[in-house]
Amino acid sequence: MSTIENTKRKLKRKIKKLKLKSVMKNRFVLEGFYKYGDTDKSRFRRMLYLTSLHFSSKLGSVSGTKPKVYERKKYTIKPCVTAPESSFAKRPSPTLMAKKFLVNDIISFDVFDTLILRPFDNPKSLFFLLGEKNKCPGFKRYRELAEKLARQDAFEKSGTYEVTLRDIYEKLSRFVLLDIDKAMQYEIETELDLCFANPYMKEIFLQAKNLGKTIIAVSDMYLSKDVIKKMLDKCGYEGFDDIIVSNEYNASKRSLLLYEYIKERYGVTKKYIHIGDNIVSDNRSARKCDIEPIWYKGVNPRGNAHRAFDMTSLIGSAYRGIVNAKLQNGDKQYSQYYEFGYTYAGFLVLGYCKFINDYCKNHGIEKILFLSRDGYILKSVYDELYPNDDTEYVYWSRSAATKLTVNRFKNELLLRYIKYKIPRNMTIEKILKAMDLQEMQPFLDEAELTKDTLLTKENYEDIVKVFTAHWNIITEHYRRNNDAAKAYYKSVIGSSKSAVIVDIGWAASGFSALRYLIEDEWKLNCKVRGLVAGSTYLHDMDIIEPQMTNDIITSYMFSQRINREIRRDHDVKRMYGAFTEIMLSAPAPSFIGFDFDNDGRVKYEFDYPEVEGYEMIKEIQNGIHDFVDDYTTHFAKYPCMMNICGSDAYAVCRQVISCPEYFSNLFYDYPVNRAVGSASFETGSLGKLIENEFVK
Amino acid sequence: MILYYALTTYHIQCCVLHRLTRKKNETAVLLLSDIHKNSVAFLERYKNSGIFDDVLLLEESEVNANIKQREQKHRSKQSILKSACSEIKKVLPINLNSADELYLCPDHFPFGWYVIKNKIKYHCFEEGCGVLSDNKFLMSNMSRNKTQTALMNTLGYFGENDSCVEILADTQAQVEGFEHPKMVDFSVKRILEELDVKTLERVLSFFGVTEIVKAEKNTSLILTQHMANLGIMPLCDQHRLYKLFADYFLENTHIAVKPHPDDIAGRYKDIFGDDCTVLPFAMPSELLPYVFDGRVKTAIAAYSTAVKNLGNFCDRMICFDNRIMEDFRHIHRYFAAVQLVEYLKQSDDDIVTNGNELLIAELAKNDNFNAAFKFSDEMSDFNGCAVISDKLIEDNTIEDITAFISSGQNKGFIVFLNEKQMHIYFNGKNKEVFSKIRPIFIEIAGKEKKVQEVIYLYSEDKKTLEKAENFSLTKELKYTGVTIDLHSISKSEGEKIKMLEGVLEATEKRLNGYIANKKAVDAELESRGIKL
Repeated sequence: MSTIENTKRKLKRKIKKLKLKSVMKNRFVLEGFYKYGDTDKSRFRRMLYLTSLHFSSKLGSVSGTKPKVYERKKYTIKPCVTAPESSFAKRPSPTLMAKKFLVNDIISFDVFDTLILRPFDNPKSLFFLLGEKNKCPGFKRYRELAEKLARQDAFEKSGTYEVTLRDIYEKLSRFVLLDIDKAMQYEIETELDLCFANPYMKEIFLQAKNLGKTIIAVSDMYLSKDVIKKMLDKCGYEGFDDIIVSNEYNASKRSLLLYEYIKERYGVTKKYIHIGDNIVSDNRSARKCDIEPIWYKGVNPRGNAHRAFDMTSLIGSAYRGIVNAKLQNGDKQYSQYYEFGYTYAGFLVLGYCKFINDYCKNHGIEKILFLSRDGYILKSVYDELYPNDDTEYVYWSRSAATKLTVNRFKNELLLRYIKYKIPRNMTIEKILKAMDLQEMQPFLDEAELTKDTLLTKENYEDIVKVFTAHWNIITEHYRRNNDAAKAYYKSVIGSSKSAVIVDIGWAASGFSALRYLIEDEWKLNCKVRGLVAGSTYLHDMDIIEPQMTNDIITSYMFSQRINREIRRDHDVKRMYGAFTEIMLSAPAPSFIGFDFDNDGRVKYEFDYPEVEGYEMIKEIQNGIHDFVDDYTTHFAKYPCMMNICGSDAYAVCRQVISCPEYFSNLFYDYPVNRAVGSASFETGSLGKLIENEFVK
Repeated sequence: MILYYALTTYHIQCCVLHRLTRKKNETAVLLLSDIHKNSVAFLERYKNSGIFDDVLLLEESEVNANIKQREQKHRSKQSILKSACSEIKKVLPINLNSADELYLCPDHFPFGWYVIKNKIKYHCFEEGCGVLSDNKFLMSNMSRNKTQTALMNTLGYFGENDSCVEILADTQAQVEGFEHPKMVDFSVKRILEELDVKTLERVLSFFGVTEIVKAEKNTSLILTQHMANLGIMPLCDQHRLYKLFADYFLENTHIAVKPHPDDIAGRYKDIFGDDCTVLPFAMPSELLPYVFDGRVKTAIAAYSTAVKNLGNFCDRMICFDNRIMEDFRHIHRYFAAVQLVEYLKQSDDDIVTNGNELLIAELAKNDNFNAAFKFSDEMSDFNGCAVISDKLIEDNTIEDITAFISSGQNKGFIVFLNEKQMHIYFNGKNKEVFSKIRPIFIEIAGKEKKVQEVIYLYSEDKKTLEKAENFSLTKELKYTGVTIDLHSISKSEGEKIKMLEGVLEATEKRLNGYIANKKAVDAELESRGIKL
């Protein structure tokens, strides 16, 4: 690269650093710049805006404290927009590595974060679990301090920082008095429980083995050789000539001494390759010792550039660790839809399913009804996690609910089928067709509202008057549908005395309608409760306030009762709701209503299928299932790790739903049928919707 | 002094045999390109063999890497050639003027460019056995590299230039009637047959064969290719291909594997277990008959030219063409189709297919099902027993296909492989076709999730359809680790629903097609400034 290009690059980097430093100066400036700074403005205007923020911050004495790391990351860390994250994790192919191995004699592997991964983005997160096993609050901090002390002590005594696990636990007695052997055993046991093989490295390792090369494992670590061997065995790595651990030789890779020892032992004329994740000890130090290094940049430093941080320490670390291990290891490339499911939707689904399960246990619920279509993936995952629970995926939609509850929620029909259609330039004929109420036409004709009349703001009230005057006809018209729905739900609920209805959100209108029908109109002798992932409603924030107070409806992530700051953050005008719904979409058409077929059996009616999106949705769902499988497998022995709180689930969602360019890029053609129930062949696309309705 | 330049194992073998048979009394030096890592890895052994007076390594890989860099910078082809030649001159470990004769194989790498560009006379070995007359595969590989394609035209690769004195090629392996003015007979196969025991031992030891493998009566041989190395497919797919070969064609046999010399990454001991014999990969396959002490029951390769040389060494030789690289993914469908055809077929008529007729024929041979399989993509030929792949849609419209089906021209039955889930028997309207269709389910159960594939049988004859309803078969695939269960529609409602799902799937696909058409028309109209 030419010197000019290099200088340009350096200059750009410096300007970026300067800008970041200036933006991150205090919370006021940070929030102001990222939350309200319009990215469409020119650079000059943004700079002016930034200067004015600093100025007003000084004037108003709101300089505040420097924002915390997670606060900064909330704005600066973004998902991979243009291409799958896994496509950036390019690693040398196994065939290429095999060729490299062929011309070398000794193949050396680093162990931790190379051959072996742990389901955390920071290995120290494991100490949280030890804290619980040792029943010791603050254990993580004590354990870190003890290691530091032990290393300092070792340096003073022997000039190296190499320590054993026992050295560390002996120092731990400075902070907490534990049975050292037992506590050490906990740590070893936990390490063994949680470690897993890096799938990419496994193939590379097998390549070396296949070629009959001498393979060694080299680690700068406080754990003993035996423990590391057990971990490697558990991960399926067998066939090492030796496992060389720094604490047994009082020499580390970083200090070059361990490499020198290896070369002395195996022969200086031999050709060596060393593969490891640490830029200093595995790369530079190896090169200095004339060992060809292959730097495998760790999955976590690579992946964390795209992960959410505003989360609880333990669950957040687990989430990031698992996603990083999957997408950054270099074994496979996934589609962006799969990654969307794996990285974002999977965590929400897992957390929500556990929440549903806990809720059912606590409330003695006999049956769980997952409402179509958002409940499709929830039920599928829930059944995998809790196969003994009684669950049903039930057909329901706002459109169906509106028709079935005309004798109670009158205004719903008028709003959803008439008022909300005003901007769509629909004729009276089309509206009546969508409502399947063509028999109203003669009455509308009398009021001079003919078939071809366009629905407008001005004639809306006239139409309402005609409808109100003949409401009994409407009620009668939908009676047959109501009977079909009753027959369907009667068979679904069976003899259950209590059921919970699960939906994604936001005003719980589906639940409210169904509750009225099941409990009051159909009298199915079953008490129903409702669960939503989040609760917010643009037109009436308090729409389900009494039901929530009465513990009839509960929200997982946020509502007026919990995580109110999240609720405020959940910006409906910025389409946060729509984006969240995409996570749980189903590859099936929208449900319209119930009827009877010619044989008197209940028949389901669907809208036109939005098939353009089905392949995307199937990929998303594959990602969701795989995330749930991976997470539950890694933490099979630690059920507490399933307790994902709503704010953690939302932090992950927020990271992606607050990034409209992600959806514009990935889901531009994703079909959005804004006229469900209007029997329209035309569907819009999410891209167009973002262009038209996203409020900056 | 005779100077040999070689890159691949086949090329090295040519040089070794040429040296031992045609130039045994002269001083000979072998110049090996370090592009091929085997040459670097086994250099000492080659030197110690004593066949050549000296074996030198040409550091050509760095030159090759620089060429790639220049390609990325979009340098002109002539400039790339010029720089490569000057770099080769710098790294040459021997003075070319000291050589009386130069034998090159191949001549399309930087050293070859240098020789041709400097108009140094040389002798050329053909790229592979019979490739001089049949170079389709070679050319398709070559066409992937723009620089190579351009320089091939200006320099004249494979001996097609004025500097090349002769092309040493196996005359008997060429396409019938093929002639070339520079062609001189050099048959590796025949030379090996004529070698005395001692010389043969020297050759075997040169390539790392230290002991003869006892061929048990039941030994089968897989000749692998290096698809992953060529970037044709990932390594896991390559492994899967050979597992499927073993499961379908080499059942209950002792498996021996001869990896391609560039198939360094293939882990065949891991796949087939410790019982299998894995031969040294750096050995050319032409030596195989001399490595086993008996005959091999079956030899199988994906599309190797090496198989052609095995001759009488094996009882059954299976070799497909490059279509197998895609078709192996649908092998369960092909297997089910063959089993179904065998179960239903009553006449001795040919079975016509537009799919992979080689694969179908070999699967049929497994069961001693003696039928003739004919390839055709003309719909009019599907009037008897036919196995139709979704590839038919590439040259025909869905309307043409469904019109052919409804015309009743087919007097036997058709098996639709449906490998791309195109459901080409249904155009969205002809629902009556479903009364003449029976799905055959292929349940694939293994350690991972259960997968289901479906092929469809079409017949006008009710008895055939009824017979198909009773079709069932189970097969365990040992190496793939799955069991496949073939069965037709059962009485259970669940499967009837699945059939309806298929119908729905087809309908959705049609709908998608209409939507795509509409979009294209809208875009076209918009580009012409017309708005509806």
